[in-house]
Amino acid sequence: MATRAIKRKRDPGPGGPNWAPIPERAPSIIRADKAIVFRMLGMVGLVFTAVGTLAMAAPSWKMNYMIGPEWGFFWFTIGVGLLLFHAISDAEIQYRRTYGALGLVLLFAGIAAKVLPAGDAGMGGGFLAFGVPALTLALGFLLAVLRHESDSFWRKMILRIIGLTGAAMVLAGFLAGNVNSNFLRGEGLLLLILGLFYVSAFIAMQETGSNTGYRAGLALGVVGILAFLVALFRSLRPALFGLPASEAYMVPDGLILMAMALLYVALSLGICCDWPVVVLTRRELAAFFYSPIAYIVILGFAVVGWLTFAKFVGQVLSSGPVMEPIMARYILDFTPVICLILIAPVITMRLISEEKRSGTLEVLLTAPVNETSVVLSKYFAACIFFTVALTPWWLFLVSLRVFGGQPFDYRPLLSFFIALSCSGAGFIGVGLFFSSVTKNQIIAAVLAFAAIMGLTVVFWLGMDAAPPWREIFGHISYLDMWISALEGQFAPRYLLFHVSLAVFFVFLTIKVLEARKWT
Amino acid sequence: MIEVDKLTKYFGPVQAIDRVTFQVDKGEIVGFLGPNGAGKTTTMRILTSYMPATSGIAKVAGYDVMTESTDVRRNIGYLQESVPLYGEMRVLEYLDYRAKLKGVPRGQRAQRIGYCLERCRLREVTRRLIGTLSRGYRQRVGLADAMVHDPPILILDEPTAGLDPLQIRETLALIKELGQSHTILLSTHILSEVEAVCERVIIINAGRIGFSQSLAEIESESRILLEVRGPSEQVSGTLRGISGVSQVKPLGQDDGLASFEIRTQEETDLREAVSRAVTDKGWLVCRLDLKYRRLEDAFFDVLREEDPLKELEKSSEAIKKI
Repeated sequence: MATRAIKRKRDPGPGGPNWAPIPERAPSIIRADKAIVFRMLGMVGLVFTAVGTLAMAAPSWKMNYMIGPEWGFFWFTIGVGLLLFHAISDAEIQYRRTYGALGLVLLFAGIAAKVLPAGDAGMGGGFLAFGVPALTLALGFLLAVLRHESDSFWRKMILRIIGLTGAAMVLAGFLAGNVNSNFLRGEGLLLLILGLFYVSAFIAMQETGSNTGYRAGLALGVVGILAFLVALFRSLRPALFGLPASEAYMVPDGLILMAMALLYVALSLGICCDWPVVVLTRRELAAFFYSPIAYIVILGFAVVGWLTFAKFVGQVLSSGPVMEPIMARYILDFTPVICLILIAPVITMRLISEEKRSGTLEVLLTAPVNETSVVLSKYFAACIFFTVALTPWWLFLVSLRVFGGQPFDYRPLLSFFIALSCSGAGFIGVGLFFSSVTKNQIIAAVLAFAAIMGLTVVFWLGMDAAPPWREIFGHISYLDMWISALEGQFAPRYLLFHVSLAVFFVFLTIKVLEARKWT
Repeated sequence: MIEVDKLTKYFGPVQAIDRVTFQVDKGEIVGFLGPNGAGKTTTMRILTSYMPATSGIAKVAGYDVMTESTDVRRNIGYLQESVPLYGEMRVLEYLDYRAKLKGVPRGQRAQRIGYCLERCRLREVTRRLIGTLSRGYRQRVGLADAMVHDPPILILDEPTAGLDPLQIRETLALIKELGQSHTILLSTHILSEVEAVCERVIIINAGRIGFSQSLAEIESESRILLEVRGPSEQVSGTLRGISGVSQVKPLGQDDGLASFEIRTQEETDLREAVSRAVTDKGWLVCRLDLKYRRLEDAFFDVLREEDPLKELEKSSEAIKKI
């Protein structure tokens, strides 16, 4: 008696035949900013810049001005900072074009200062005093303008100018640097650094996934490798062919060139390589600059460096001739050491704890990457940021050399840099580990700080310890290592403890992340 | 593509899932249902190899989640329930980063990201900070991330939670379309969505699989509701005599009206046969109704089953007595 089979009419579901597509709309409109505050700041900046320029120029015109040239420089710096800020935040076309023109004028002025024969011969003539600041400022203004530029003609033109200038600086730096070592030690090094900034800006401003940026990155890598090989060959030549020591090239020319070349290769690797470690490191580095921590740390370091430097210069000037190594007085003071101890926990505290708290760690670890790459990338990023944050300190020394006109023994700085890198690597490893054991950044920072303080206390323990302990504490205490490095003694065996500290804690961190899989 | 065998997971003393066993074949869209805290997310986390199981075996795309974790992760796209994202990144930048991380080759990256942006309707917000986006948009970003490397298996934990009605429709259409070439395991609490896109459902309760059937099977279990003016026992006897009837359940008698629920053996409509059999005996049919069994009924039936936790308690008490 059964009739038809049961066939329920089902809902056709989404995307059925009668479905008319609805176009996508933005969830909300974005209103153009009324940049009144920024414009006022820009105005103030303009006034400050003018006042500062006049104050700095007044002495050379044999005129008296109400403020001295030193304060003039101060106001000039603040004024230019405000102008840059305005350029970054105001998208209005008149301002954009004005700042664009200013940037281009500065750029060409900088190039002119280099190319035109300099009247008063100092180190590289007017280029170091005017050209380098002009080129740096030009890059700042042009980048600020590019941020808003929507017209493709202007965009392309400015980008091309930046890219070409950068390429020219890089090539000039490496080629002329190989010929003239006097050039390399001042101007050449600056050209190489500026060129790196220009080329990086050129690459960073390309559209996402464009081929131009990728090729530029590759080219950078090729240039870096070539320069490295040349410098390496020239450094090893005396040893290989038994030439006299007067032909020595390694310190400092070879080292400068090799270091710069390695920096170029590293940057190229960071741009072009798609290994998980590199991709992750890139994001971690960017993450530092997404949060205010990076800016606060760099600014703090610049200020501390400035204060220490002022104190150091005051000491050197007042006490008459000082014994080398004078650098020990600059670094081994209370404030810089405290600063160096504080920075590692600040850098590392959020690395893993934040991801744990927000749950992004799960997203990260369900992508095809292993724990080792995750931890290593965070570690590398923190190390790179640590090095970057310290740059202001070295820049102050460049100004000491250039404007003080007195050569000083820089070699202790090399050994100190290596010692600092090793102890910094250890600190960051410790900090990374404590960041991985908790979800709370503050706890991570406090634990890391306590651990580093523990390492610091060892210095005083070692001072009045019995002989066998004294030796042991000497290996552990990073302060001992810094002091001996700044005195020009450099014993690799003292680095061992700190490097193994870094390796051990990175290993532990990897195991902490893997521990969730242990049953 | 997904094979799960006697998967058990303890969080300390808490048993999150208990001997869960199921299978998802290639190209199937399977709905994973269950009340809150039933163990859906835990199962999914084990499948994505984020967490290990206490015991049991899970294989995804032929790889063991414990020992071949990287291969497993290369073959799945996983959308977390709470969609944790880096709020300080922009949408396009984030997808680019994830595509690189998941090994999408350079040449295809722009095209893949473009496709995901298009399908998840994110074109208008590519330049916005993820942290400023609403919950629904974050959900879309999460979905775009899950499919950016075109994985053969998608594991989606509540993919439509927090979306607007239009976006739910678009997302379900997308899932349905992806289901033609991909294997999809999705969990949700909205049963109509499951009915709209899934071919099969797995219902889990208190850590145990209560039910695993295709939607067609569920619907084939229809019941006839009958109200007859007549003596209850005799009517039910007559009803049992009809060929094709498997079960007659009297629902009580009220005011001379006897109610019955009749289950049939096959996918056949017995209404006419029932009507004839009843009227032939001289009783009057007051209601004759064919009830399809819906997913909802199946879901509640699973929840109504003997409470597995009580069973466990009973057995542990019994052990104590011994």
